[in-house]
Amino acid sequence: MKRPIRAVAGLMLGAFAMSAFATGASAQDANGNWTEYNGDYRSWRYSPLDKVNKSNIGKLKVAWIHQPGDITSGIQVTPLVIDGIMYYIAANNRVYAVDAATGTQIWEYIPELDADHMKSIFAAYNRGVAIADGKVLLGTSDGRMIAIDQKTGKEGWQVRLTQPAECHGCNFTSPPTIANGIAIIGKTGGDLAQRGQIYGVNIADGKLLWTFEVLKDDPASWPADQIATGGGGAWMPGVFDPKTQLYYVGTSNPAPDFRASQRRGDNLYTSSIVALDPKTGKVVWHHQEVPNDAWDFDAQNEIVSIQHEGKDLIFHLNKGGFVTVLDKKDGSVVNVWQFSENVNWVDKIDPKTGKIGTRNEPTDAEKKIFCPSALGARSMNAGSYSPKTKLWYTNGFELCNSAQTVETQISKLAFSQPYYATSEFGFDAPPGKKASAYLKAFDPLTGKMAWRVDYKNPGLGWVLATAGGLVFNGDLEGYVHAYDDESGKELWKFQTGSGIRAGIVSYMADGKQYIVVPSGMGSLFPGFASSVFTDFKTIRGGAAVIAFTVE
Amino acid sequence: MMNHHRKCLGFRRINILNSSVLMCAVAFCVAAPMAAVPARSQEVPAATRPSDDDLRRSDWIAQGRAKFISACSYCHGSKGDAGKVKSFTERSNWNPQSIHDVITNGRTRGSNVMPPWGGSIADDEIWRIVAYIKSLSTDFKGPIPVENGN
Repeated sequence: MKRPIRAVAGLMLGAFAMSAFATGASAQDANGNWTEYNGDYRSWRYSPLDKVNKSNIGKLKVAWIHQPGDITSGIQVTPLVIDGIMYYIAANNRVYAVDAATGTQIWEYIPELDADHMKSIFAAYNRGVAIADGKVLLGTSDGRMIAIDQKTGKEGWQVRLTQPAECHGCNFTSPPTIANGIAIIGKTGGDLAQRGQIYGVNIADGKLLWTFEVLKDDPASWPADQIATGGGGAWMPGVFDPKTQLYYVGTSNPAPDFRASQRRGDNLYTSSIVALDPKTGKVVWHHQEVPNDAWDFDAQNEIVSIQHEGKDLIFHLNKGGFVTVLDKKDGSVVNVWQFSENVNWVDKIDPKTGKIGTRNEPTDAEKKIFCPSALGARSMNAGSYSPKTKLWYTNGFELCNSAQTVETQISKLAFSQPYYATSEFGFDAPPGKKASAYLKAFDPLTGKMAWRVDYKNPGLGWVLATAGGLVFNGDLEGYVHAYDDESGKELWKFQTGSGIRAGIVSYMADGKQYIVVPSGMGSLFPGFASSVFTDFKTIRGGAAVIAFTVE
Repeated sequence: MMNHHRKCLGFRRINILNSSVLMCAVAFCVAAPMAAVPARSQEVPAATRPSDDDLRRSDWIAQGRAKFISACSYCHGSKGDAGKVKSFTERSNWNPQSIHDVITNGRTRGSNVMPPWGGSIADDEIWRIVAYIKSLSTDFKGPIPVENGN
């Protein structure tokens, strides 16, 4: 039950929000909401709020905690906040609406998932919901999209989009992206012997409007006998730019992940940034970062839009350890800079064209080491861009993997078995060095580093920068840190009880600025990396949404 | 495409498909015996398990290793030293039936999830994976050479 004053505040916020939507404005236009997964179409994950700032950060205290009660795979969500209500998704696709000022639960939605969904290696976890037209939209662990009523949490329409039994468990682990009444979502499966797709669904009634085949039906790009099991997909959300009216998304790697020799050709549109017409799902332009990918280098990371010298630009970190800067109007390359300190899969990438140089790829003949590893230069946890400092704050780590390939019969793949085609595989420290991790602040156009903070283990949480001059970042050990956005000096930290593998956001409710930190380690990464970053072996799981404010 | 109905080599096939509560463990978490409770242990029959000598057969270990590398190593490392469990190379007195049952049924333990592999990896193949995992233990007595076995 809301207090009257909150109802008024909610109405006021609602009015602001409606105004913002009507003008195509965004969460980052100071209305105090957080309406999209990455903040808005620019993927800045920046809050323009400054009530919490460098001068009062020491007074930041816990305001409330909400727990979903299911810690399977931890909690990986970026919550949304609209009109004083927070919406978030937890393990096994449980969705919650809570009062953003008090943490009081308003409704919960627990879907009945097909039992077989737990056979998928991508089971149980989900990174967010999308909200549009009074509906909360989610892609499910068993391959459906479901619309639930934003006010009541009651289930509305649902539509089956994938057939997990036929595609080794391909499903949805991220929120749809909203584009003028259409919800766009890509499925998992770059590592599976299946063919990846992206779907456009009519938000009004759940009807499937179009399907985009991520694997281009082109014999020059794909051998005919490989395309049906060539992987692809898009397992992280894209963005819809209301100005260009285009949907931009980074696609998954091709399969088999490491044996590129059996699928010679560029393997479009895998490991690419693609701009689609959201009305039709047709490609407007694309830029492939890793042609004929042999290293599991998906392009799933955030697509960040900024303006520079009158141009609309995109910058994007590939798992292969390079940041590509593109002209947003046509995808032409503006610059490419090296993000990772250890790179050996290619000798160089041309900064003017994006063309990759001499390749060093896995072979059947011998086991070799490749840097960065298949876990990437960073995990999918987005960084944050601050228009105040013009810096991009992001986690990263230095890790490699060894691999040797072997011909693999698809008929012998187990249901949950990725299509890697490896006879040898393991994660390793960079040759002659220790594996390392960090939070860094970069000029995103040039790669010039402003500051760095070293971490003992990879930071797996999504970063938040604010107009209060703060950069929030969570770590494996459970601390959420606040740093000075100009110097990297730590100004505050708090122990949340479990590692952070989720999105930190900020919003206004009842006149106060809140910082919310979902805490609870899970996901595939900790197991993968634990042979090198051994602390991952002993981390505790959990799931709690913790809201902070200054009294 | 799936290998659900493959004939096993003298071992009873355990059908766990369509189970409603199967939880799993991406970390392919084969755990210590006392902790290795299958998700639905009551559904696992008292399987006819291979002899200790069978589990030391060099051909089984090699075949199990090949499957382990292709299906399990991403989470567990090629020698079982990764994953959110005690390293396989530090184990001793590890009950092979427990290893088999966790592989077959999968397991959820806290936030850790391992999918069930029963039904899509034939039971005889699972026992070969067990043979490889056992060969990593500190108390492994060494392989029994077998050439061209199956």
